[in-house]
Amino acid sequence: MEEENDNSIPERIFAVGEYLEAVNIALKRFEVKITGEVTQVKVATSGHCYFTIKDKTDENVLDCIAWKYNYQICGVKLEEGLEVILKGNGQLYNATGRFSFIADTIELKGEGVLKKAYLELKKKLESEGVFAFERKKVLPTFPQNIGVITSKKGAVINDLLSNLGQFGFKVKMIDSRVEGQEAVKNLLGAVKEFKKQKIDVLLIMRGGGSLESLQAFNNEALVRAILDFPCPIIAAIGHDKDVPLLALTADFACSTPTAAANTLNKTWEMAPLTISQAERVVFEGLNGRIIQIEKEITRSSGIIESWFNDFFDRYKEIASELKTYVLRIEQAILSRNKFLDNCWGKIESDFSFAFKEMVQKLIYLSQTIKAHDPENNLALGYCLARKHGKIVRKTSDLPPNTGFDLQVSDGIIKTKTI
Amino acid sequence: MVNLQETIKKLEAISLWFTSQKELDVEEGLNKVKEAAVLIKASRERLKAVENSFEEIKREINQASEE
Repeated sequence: MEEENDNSIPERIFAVGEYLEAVNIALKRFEVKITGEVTQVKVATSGHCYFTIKDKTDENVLDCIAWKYNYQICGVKLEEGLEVILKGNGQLYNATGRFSFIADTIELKGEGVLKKAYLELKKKLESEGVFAFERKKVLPTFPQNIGVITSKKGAVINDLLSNLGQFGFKVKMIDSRVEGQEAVKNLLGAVKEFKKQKIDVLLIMRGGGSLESLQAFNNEALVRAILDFPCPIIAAIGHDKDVPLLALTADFACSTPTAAANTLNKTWEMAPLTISQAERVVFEGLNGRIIQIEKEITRSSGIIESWFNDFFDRYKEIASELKTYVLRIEQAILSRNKFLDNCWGKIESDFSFAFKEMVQKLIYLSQTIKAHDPENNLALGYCLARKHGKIVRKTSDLPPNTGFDLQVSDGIIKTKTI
Repeated sequence: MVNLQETIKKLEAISLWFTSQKELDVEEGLNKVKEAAVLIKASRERLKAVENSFEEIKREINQASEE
C-alpha cells in the first residue's frame, strides 16, 4: 500500500470492499486516545457494547464499540453522562460503510468519578467476602520458587532482588505494564501464565501512584482472576490512601518490594531457630520414647521370665509324672514277665513230666507186649508148625505124607509127615 | 499224624489182650505183636518230633527272655 501511495491512486479503481479494507488497515495503524461524555449505551446479547460519546462543549458525536472481552475486563460500567477516556482506533463496517471507534480500553476520567467507582466496587466485593480473612491462603514456609509480575522498567524489581536473602530463591518475572487501564490485559495475561507454572508464591508489585495511575489494580476482572490462584499471592503496591482492591484481595499485602522481600526472607531467617526448636522437640520426644521403651522392655522381660519359670515348673511336674508312669509300666512289665516265667516253668515241668510218663508207658507197653510174643518160646526149643502159612494145632491137620514148615529159633525146617 | 494218646490206648488194649489170655492164640498174638510194633515205632517217632518241637520252643523263649 505504501509503495502505491499518491501516485498509484488515480491509476487504480477500487472495489468498495477493497477500499474499505484499505481504509481499515490505515485506521488500525492510527491508535489514539479520545475523551468524551457517554450519551447512548446498548449492551447486545452477544456481550458487545455499542455506545456513543460526544464533546461536552458542542455536538460532535462519535459511535463507539467495545467488544465483549474488552468491555468485560475494563472494569467500567458505561452509563449516560459518564466521562471516559477511550483508547483504540477507527473502523469502517463493510456492510454499511458506517464509521465506528473500536475502544480497546475504557477508563473513567476525573478523580471524583474514579473514587466513586472504586468505593462502589470495593463495597460490592466486600459484600461477597472477597477480602475475608478466612479465604486468604497461608504463606508457605521456606518458599523457593517465586513468581513476580511487575514492570521491568521500574525500580521495584531491583529493590526486591537486592533485598531477597541468599536462601536459594528462584525468581521468575513476567514483565507487565502497571500503569493505567492498559495494564489490565498485561496483568491478566501474566496471572494466567503463572497459573500454569510451579511456583510457591506470586508477587504482584508496582511503585506508588495516584488512584488514577493505579486503576488497573482496582479492576474487577483482575481481582476475580487472582481469587482462585493456586498459591498465595503477595501484593506489594505503593499507594496513598486508598488501598488497591487487588492488595485487599491478595493473601498478604505490603506497600514496598523491600517489605515483600522481608516477608519471603522471614521463614528462612527463622530457620536456625526453628531447627533448634525442632531438634529439641525431637530429642526430648526421642528420649521420652526411649525411656518408655526401656520400661516396656523391663516389664516385658519380667513377663517373659515369669512365663518361662511357669513353663519350666510345669515341665518338671510333667517330667516327674512321666517318670512315675514309666516306673509303673516297668514294674508291670517285670510282673508280667515273672508271671510268664512262672507259667512257662510250670508248663515245662508239666510237659516234661507228661512226656517222661508217656515214654515210660511206651517202654512198659513195649516190654509187656514183647514179653507175650509167641516167638519168644522158640529160643527155648519150641517150634511152630505151619501148613500153608497156618498154625498146625491138631494131628488131624497133618495127614500122612503131608508137607509142612517147622519154625525154630534160627530158621524154618521144611518137612512132611510119614 | 500219629495221635499219641490214641496210640497209647491201642497199645494198652493190646497189652491187656495179652494179659487176659488164658491160652494164647499164637496166630492172633503174632498179629497183635506186629500191630504193636508198628504203633510203638510210630509213637517213638512222634515222641521224638514232639520233643524236638518242645526244645525248639524252649530255645525261642529263652532267647526272647535274654533280649
